[in-house]
Amino acid sequence: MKTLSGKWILAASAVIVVGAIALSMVILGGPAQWGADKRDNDRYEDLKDIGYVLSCHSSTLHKFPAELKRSAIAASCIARFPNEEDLLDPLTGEPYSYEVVSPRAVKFCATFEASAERMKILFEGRSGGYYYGYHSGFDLKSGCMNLTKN
Amino acid sequence: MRPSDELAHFVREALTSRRSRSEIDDALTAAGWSEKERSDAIEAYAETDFVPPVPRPRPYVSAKDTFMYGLLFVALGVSAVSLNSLIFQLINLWLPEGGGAYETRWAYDVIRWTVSTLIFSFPLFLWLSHLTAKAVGRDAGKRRSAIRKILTYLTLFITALIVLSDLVTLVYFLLSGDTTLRFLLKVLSVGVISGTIFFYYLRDASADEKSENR
Repeated sequence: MKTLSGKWILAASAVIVVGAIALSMVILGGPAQWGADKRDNDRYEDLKDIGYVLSCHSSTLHKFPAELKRSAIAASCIARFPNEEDLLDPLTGEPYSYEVVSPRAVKFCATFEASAERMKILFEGRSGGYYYGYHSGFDLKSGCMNLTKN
Repeated sequence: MRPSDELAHFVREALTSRRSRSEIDDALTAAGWSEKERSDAIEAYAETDFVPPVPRPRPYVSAKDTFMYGLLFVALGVSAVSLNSLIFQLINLWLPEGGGAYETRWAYDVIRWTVSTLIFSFPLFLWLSHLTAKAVGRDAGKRRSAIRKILTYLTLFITALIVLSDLVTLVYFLLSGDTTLRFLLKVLSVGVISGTIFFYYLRDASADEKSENR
Protein backbone atom coordinates (compact mmCIF):
# COMPACT_ATOMS: atom_id res chain seq x y z
CA MET A 1 0.00 0.00 0.00
CA LYS A 2 2.87 2.36 0.92
CA THR A 3 4.73 1.65 -2.31
CA LEU A 4 1.53 2.05 -4.29
CA SER A 5 0.80 5.49 -2.85
CA GLY A 6 4.42 6.55 -3.48
CA LYS A 7 4.05 5.48 -7.09
CA TRP A 8 0.77 7.40 -7.34
CA ILE A 9 2.44 10.56 -6.06
CA LEU A 10 5.18 10.23 -8.69
CA ALA A 11 2.63 9.44 -11.42
CA ALA A 12 0.47 12.46 -10.47
CA SER A 13 3.60 14.69 -10.43
CA ALA A 14 4.54 13.40 -13.89
CA VAL A 15 1.05 14.23 -15.21
CA ILE A 16 1.33 17.79 -13.81
CA VAL A 17 4.82 18.31 -15.25
CA VAL A 18 3.85 16.95 -18.67
CA GLY A 19 0.65 19.05 -18.64
CA ALA A 20 2.56 22.23 -17.72
CA ILE A 21 5.15 21.59 -20.45
CA ALA A 22 2.42 20.87 -23.05
CA LEU A 23 0.58 24.07 -22.12
CA SER A 24 3.85 26.01 -22.38
CA MET A 25 4.46 24.59 -25.85
CA VAL A 26 1.00 25.74 -26.94
CA ILE A 27 1.71 29.25 -25.59
CA LEU A 28 5.20 29.48 -27.10
CA GLY A 29 4.02 28.04 -30.43
CA GLY A 30 5.78 25.35 -32.46
CA PRO A 31 9.32 25.28 -33.88
CA ALA A 32 8.20 27.43 -36.85
CA GLN A 33 7.04 30.13 -34.42
CA TRP A 34 10.31 29.96 -32.45
CA GLY A 35 12.30 30.41 -35.67
CA ALA A 36 10.13 33.34 -36.75
CA ASP A 37 10.49 34.99 -33.31
CA LYS A 38 14.27 34.61 -33.49
CA ARG A 39 14.45 36.12 -36.99
CA ASP A 40 12.15 39.00 -35.96
CA ASN A 41 14.39 39.68 -32.97
CA ASP A 42 17.42 39.68 -35.29
CA ARG A 43 15.62 42.15 -37.61
CA TYR A 44 14.86 44.42 -34.66
CA GLU A 45 18.47 44.33 -33.49
CA ASP A 46 19.60 45.02 -37.08
CA LEU A 47 17.37 48.11 -37.18
CA LYS A 48 18.86 49.32 -33.90
CA ASP A 49 22.39 48.82 -35.27
CA ILE A 50 21.44 50.66 -38.45
CA GLY A 51 20.13 53.50 -36.26
CA TYR A 52 23.53 53.68 -34.56
CA VAL A 53 25.40 53.71 -37.87
CA LEU A 54 23.12 56.37 -39.40
CA SER A 55 23.38 58.66 -36.37
CA CYS A 56 27.16 58.25 -36.45
CA HIS A 57 27.24 59.09 -40.19
CA SER A 58 24.97 62.08 -39.71
CA SER A 59 27.07 63.40 -36.83
CA THR A 60 30.28 62.99 -38.89
CA LEU A 61 29.10 64.36 -42.27
CA HIS A 62 26.15 66.48 -41.05
CA LYS A 63 23.67 64.70 -43.33
CA PHE A 64 22.08 61.28 -43.66
CA PRO A 65 23.39 58.96 -46.43
CA ALA A 66 21.38 58.85 -49.65
CA GLU A 67 21.11 55.07 -49.57
CA LEU A 68 21.57 52.26 -47.08
CA LYS A 69 24.74 50.64 -48.44
CA ARG A 70 28.14 50.16 -46.86
CA SER A 71 29.76 52.19 -49.61
CA ALA A 72 27.45 55.14 -48.83
CA ILE A 73 28.28 55.27 -45.14
CA ALA A 74 31.22 57.07 -43.52
CA ALA A 75 34.12 54.61 -43.09
CA SER A 76 34.55 55.53 -39.43
CA CYS A 77 30.93 54.49 -38.75
CA ILE A 78 30.63 51.22 -40.66
CA ALA A 79 32.73 48.96 -38.38
CA ARG A 80 29.53 47.46 -36.93
CA PHE A 81 28.63 46.11 -40.39
CA PRO A 82 31.73 44.33 -41.74
CA ASN A 83 29.72 42.67 -44.58
CA GLU A 84 27.05 43.89 -46.98
CA GLU A 85 24.87 40.92 -45.84
CA ASP A 86 24.58 42.57 -42.42
CA LEU A 87 22.26 45.08 -44.05
CA LEU A 88 20.01 42.35 -45.50
CA ASP A 89 16.95 40.58 -44.10
CA PRO A 90 18.06 37.29 -42.44
CA LEU A 91 15.35 35.23 -44.21
CA THR A 92 14.73 36.79 -47.63
CA GLY A 93 18.16 38.35 -48.22
CA GLU A 94 16.39 41.54 -49.34
CA PRO A 95 17.87 44.88 -48.19
CA TYR A 96 16.03 46.69 -45.41
CA SER A 97 14.03 49.56 -46.86
CA TYR A 98 15.40 53.05 -46.26
CA GLU A 99 13.96 56.47 -46.82
CA VAL A 100 15.30 59.95 -46.11
CA VAL A 101 12.14 61.63 -44.83
CA SER A 102 13.72 65.07 -44.31
CA PRO A 103 17.23 66.47 -43.82
CA ARG A 104 16.76 65.73 -40.10
CA ALA A 105 14.90 62.40 -40.25
CA VAL A 106 15.18 58.96 -41.80
CA LYS A 107 12.99 55.89 -41.72
CA PHE A 108 14.24 52.33 -42.22
CA CYS A 109 12.02 49.28 -42.12
CA ALA A 110 12.02 45.49 -41.98
CA THR A 111 9.27 43.08 -42.97
CA PHE A 112 8.44 41.17 -39.80
CA GLU A 113 6.87 37.71 -39.79
CA ALA A 114 4.95 38.20 -36.51
CA SER A 115 1.24 39.01 -36.41
CA ALA A 116 0.17 42.38 -35.00
CA GLU A 117 -0.58 40.76 -31.64
CA ARG A 118 2.76 38.96 -31.60
CA MET A 119 4.55 42.20 -32.58
CA LYS A 120 3.15 43.80 -29.43
CA ILE A 121 4.42 40.94 -27.27
CA LEU A 122 7.85 40.95 -28.89
CA PHE A 123 8.59 44.65 -29.20
CA GLU A 124 6.16 46.89 -27.30
CA GLY A 125 8.02 49.07 -24.83
CA ARG A 126 11.44 48.05 -26.11
CA SER A 127 13.99 50.76 -26.64
CA GLY A 128 14.70 51.79 -30.22
CA GLY A 129 18.28 52.50 -29.20
CA TYR A 130 19.85 55.57 -27.62
CA TYR A 131 22.05 57.77 -29.81
CA TYR A 132 23.37 61.07 -28.50
CA GLY A 133 21.66 64.01 -30.21
CA TYR A 134 19.04 61.81 -31.90
CA HIS A 135 15.65 60.37 -31.09
CA SER A 136 14.69 56.95 -32.35
CA GLY A 137 11.39 55.12 -32.10
CA PHE A 138 10.06 51.84 -33.40
CA ASP A 139 6.62 51.70 -34.99
CA LEU A 140 4.98 48.36 -34.23
CA LYS A 141 2.44 48.60 -37.04
CA SER A 142 4.79 49.41 -39.92
CA GLY A 143 7.91 47.64 -38.58
CA CYS A 144 9.87 50.87 -39.16
CA MET A 145 12.45 52.62 -37.04
CA ASN A 146 12.24 56.41 -37.18
CA LEU A 147 15.45 58.31 -36.47
CA THR A 148 15.27 62.06 -36.00
CA LYS A 149 18.03 64.55 -35.27
CA ASN A 150 17.19 66.64 -32.19
CA MET B 1 41.93 5.15 20.23
CA ARG B 2 39.06 7.69 20.40
CA PRO B 3 36.84 7.73 23.56
CA SER B 4 33.89 6.33 21.55
CA ASP B 5 36.10 3.49 20.25
CA GLU B 6 37.27 2.75 23.79
CA LEU B 7 33.66 2.71 24.99
CA ALA B 8 32.60 0.30 22.20
CA HIS B 9 35.60 -1.89 22.95
CA PHE B 10 34.75 -1.93 26.67
CA VAL B 11 31.10 -2.87 26.08
CA ARG B 12 32.10 -5.64 23.70
CA GLU B 13 34.63 -7.06 26.18
CA ALA B 14 32.11 -6.83 29.02
CA LEU B 15 29.40 -8.65 27.04
CA THR B 16 31.95 -11.31 26.03
CA SER B 17 32.70 -11.74 29.74
CA ARG B 18 28.96 -12.42 30.29
CA ARG B 19 28.37 -9.21 32.26
CA SER B 20 24.70 -8.18 32.28
CA ARG B 21 23.61 -5.01 30.52
CA SER B 22 22.61 -3.36 33.80
CA GLU B 23 26.05 -4.12 35.28
CA ILE B 24 27.73 -2.56 32.25
CA ASP B 25 25.42 0.44 32.46
CA ASP B 26 26.22 0.94 36.17
CA ALA B 27 29.95 0.72 35.50
CA LEU B 28 29.73 3.28 32.72
CA THR B 29 27.56 5.58 34.85
CA ALA B 30 30.13 5.46 37.61
CA ALA B 31 32.83 6.32 35.05
CA GLY B 32 30.89 9.44 34.01
CA TRP B 33 29.50 8.45 30.57
CA SER B 34 26.24 10.20 29.69
CA GLU B 35 22.97 8.29 29.36
CA LYS B 36 22.95 8.71 25.55
CA GLU B 37 26.55 7.52 25.24
CA ARG B 38 25.83 4.50 27.46
CA SER B 39 22.65 3.45 25.69
CA ASP B 40 24.16 3.95 22.22
CA ALA B 41 27.16 1.82 23.15
CA ILE B 42 25.10 -0.97 24.77
CA GLU B 43 22.35 -0.94 22.11
CA ALA B 44 25.02 -1.36 19.44
CA TYR B 45 24.85 -5.10 20.30
CA ALA B 46 21.78 -7.32 19.91
CA GLU B 47 20.13 -8.64 23.07
CA THR B 48 21.16 -12.27 22.79
CA ASP B 49 23.26 -14.67 24.82
CA PHE B 50 25.36 -15.48 21.82
CA VAL B 51 29.10 -14.95 22.31
CA PRO B 52 30.89 -13.07 20.89
CA PRO B 53 28.30 -10.23 21.07
CA VAL B 54 26.32 -9.75 17.87
CA PRO B 55 26.54 -6.19 16.52
CA ARG B 56 23.36 -4.51 15.35
CA PRO B 57 23.34 -3.07 11.80
CA ARG B 58 24.80 0.45 11.66
CA PRO B 59 24.41 3.27 9.16
CA TYR B 60 27.03 3.19 6.41
CA VAL B 61 28.45 5.61 3.85
CA SER B 62 29.27 4.63 0.27
CA ALA B 63 30.56 6.64 -2.67
CA LYS B 64 27.91 5.16 -4.97
CA ASP B 65 25.07 6.14 -2.62
CA THR B 66 26.52 9.63 -2.24
CA PHE B 67 26.50 9.98 -6.03
CA MET B 68 22.99 8.53 -6.50
CA TYR B 69 21.24 10.32 -3.63
CA GLY B 70 23.17 13.55 -4.20
CA LEU B 71 22.09 13.61 -7.84
CA LEU B 72 18.53 12.65 -6.86
CA PHE B 73 18.43 15.49 -4.33
CA VAL B 74 19.65 18.05 -6.89
CA ALA B 75 17.28 16.72 -9.60
CA LEU B 76 14.37 16.99 -7.15
CA GLY B 77 15.29 20.53 -6.11
CA VAL B 78 15.83 21.76 -9.66
CA SER B 79 12.59 20.11 -10.85
CA ALA B 80 10.55 21.57 -7.98
CA VAL B 81 11.91 25.11 -8.44
CA SER B 82 11.50 24.92 -12.24
CA LEU B 83 7.95 23.56 -12.04
CA ASN B 84 6.98 26.25 -9.57
CA SER B 85 8.53 29.03 -11.69
CA LEU B 86 6.77 27.64 -14.76
CA ILE B 87 3.40 27.58 -12.98
CA PHE B 88 4.00 31.14 -11.71
CA GLN B 89 4.55 32.37 -15.27
CA LEU B 90 1.52 30.48 -16.60
CA ILE B 91 -0.53 32.19 -13.86
CA ASN B 92 1.01 35.58 -14.82
CA LEU B 93 0.00 35.06 -18.44
CA TRP B 94 -3.47 33.91 -17.48
CA LEU B 95 -4.05 36.73 -14.99
CA PRO B 96 -1.88 39.68 -16.11
CA GLU B 97 -1.46 42.54 -13.67
CA GLY B 98 -0.66 45.52 -15.89
CA GLY B 99 2.93 44.59 -16.67
CA GLY B 100 2.11 44.77 -20.39
CA ALA B 101 4.35 43.35 -23.10
CA TYR B 102 7.40 43.47 -20.84
CA GLU B 103 5.76 41.04 -18.40
CA THR B 104 4.73 38.76 -21.28
CA ARG B 105 8.25 38.74 -22.76
CA TRP B 106 9.70 38.00 -19.32
CA ALA B 107 7.15 35.18 -18.84
CA TYR B 108 8.05 33.68 -22.24
CA ASP B 109 11.73 33.78 -21.38
CA VAL B 110 11.24 32.12 -17.99
CA ILE B 111 8.95 29.52 -19.59
CA ARG B 112 11.67 28.65 -22.14
CA TRP B 113 14.25 28.19 -19.38
CA THR B 114 12.03 26.22 -17.03
CA VAL B 115 10.72 23.91 -19.77
CA SER B 116 14.31 23.29 -20.94
CA THR B 117 15.32 22.46 -17.37
CA LEU B 118 12.29 20.31 -16.56
CA ILE B 119 12.66 18.21 -19.72
CA PHE B 120 15.93 16.85 -18.29
CA SER B 121 15.70 17.25 -14.52
CA PHE B 122 12.30 15.65 -13.96
CA PRO B 123 12.89 12.41 -15.92
CA LEU B 124 16.27 12.20 -14.16
CA PHE B 125 14.52 12.51 -10.80
CA LEU B 126 11.96 9.82 -11.75
CA TRP B 127 14.65 7.47 -13.01
CA LEU B 128 16.88 7.88 -9.93
CA SER B 129 13.85 7.49 -7.63
CA HIS B 130 13.03 4.25 -9.44
CA LEU B 131 16.63 2.98 -9.17
CA THR B 132 16.99 3.79 -5.47
CA ALA B 133 13.53 2.35 -4.62
CA LYS B 134 14.43 -0.82 -6.51
CA ALA B 135 17.76 -1.08 -4.67
CA VAL B 136 16.00 -0.66 -1.29
CA GLY B 137 13.35 -3.22 -2.31
CA ARG B 138 16.05 -5.78 -3.15
CA ASP B 139 18.12 -5.12 -0.02
CA ALA B 140 16.47 -3.52 3.02
CA GLY B 141 19.98 -2.83 4.38
CA LYS B 142 20.19 0.01 1.85
CA ARG B 143 17.79 1.92 4.08
CA ARG B 144 20.70 2.36 6.50
CA SER B 145 22.63 4.46 4.01
CA ALA B 146 23.73 7.53 5.99
CA ILE B 147 23.61 9.82 2.95
CA ARG B 148 20.06 8.62 2.18
CA LYS B 149 19.02 9.48 5.71
CA ILE B 150 20.77 12.87 5.75
CA LEU B 151 19.32 13.97 2.40
CA THR B 152 15.84 12.67 3.28
CA TYR B 153 15.79 14.74 6.47
CA LEU B 154 17.38 17.72 4.72
CA THR B 155 14.56 17.55 2.14
CA LEU B 156 11.99 17.37 4.94
CA PHE B 157 13.63 20.32 6.68
CA ILE B 158 13.71 22.52 3.57
CA THR B 159 10.16 21.68 2.45
CA ALA B 160 8.81 22.16 5.97
CA LEU B 161 10.37 25.65 6.06
CA ILE B 162 8.89 26.46 2.63
CA VAL B 163 5.40 25.28 3.64
CA LEU B 164 5.60 27.34 6.85
CA SER B 165 6.82 30.44 4.98
CA ASP B 166 4.05 29.93 2.44
CA LEU B 167 1.43 29.84 5.21
CA VAL B 168 2.92 32.88 6.94
CA THR B 169 2.85 34.79 3.62
CA LEU B 170 -0.75 33.75 3.05
CA VAL B 171 -1.90 34.90 6.50
CA TYR B 172 0.09 38.16 6.25
CA PHE B 173 -1.51 39.11 2.94
CA LEU B 174 -4.96 38.00 4.14
CA LEU B 175 -4.56 40.29 7.15
CA SER B 176 -3.39 43.09 4.85
CA GLY B 177 -6.47 42.59 2.70
CA ASP B 178 -4.13 42.36 -0.28
CA THR B 179 -5.13 39.07 -1.86
CA THR B 180 -5.88 38.44 -5.50
CA LEU B 181 -6.70 35.22 -7.31
CA ARG B 182 -3.26 35.42 -8.91
CA PHE B 183 -1.59 35.61 -5.47
CA LEU B 184 -3.72 32.80 -4.01
CA LEU B 185 -2.91 30.51 -6.95
CA LYS B 186 0.80 31.14 -6.46
CA VAL B 187 0.57 30.39 -2.75
CA LEU B 188 -1.33 27.22 -3.63
CA SER B 189 1.34 26.22 -6.16
CA VAL B 190 4.16 26.59 -3.61
CA GLY B 191 2.12 24.78 -0.95
CA VAL B 192 1.14 21.85 -3.15
CA ILE B 193 4.62 21.29 -4.58
CA SER B 194 6.52 21.54 -1.29
CA GLY B 195 3.76 19.75 0.64
CA THR B 196 3.79 16.83 -1.80
CA ILE B 197 7.56 16.51 -1.54
CA PHE B 198 7.35 16.70 2.26
CA PHE B 199 4.66 14.00 2.40
CA TYR B 200 6.50 11.77 -0.07
CA TYR B 201 9.78 11.86 1.88
CA LEU B 202 8.05 11.65 5.25
CA ARG B 203 6.69 8.27 4.12
CA ASP B 204 10.23 7.23 3.21
CA ALA B 205 11.62 8.38 6.55
CA SER B 206 8.87 6.53 8.47
CA ALA B 207 9.48 3.36 6.48
CA ASP B 208 13.21 3.62 7.20
CA GLU B 209 12.58 4.05 10.93
CA LYS B 210 10.18 1.10 11.04
CA SER B 211 12.72 -1.02 9.26
CA GLU B 212 15.42 -0.01 11.79
CA ASN B 213 13.22 -0.76 14.81
CA ARG B 214 12.36 -4.25 13.60
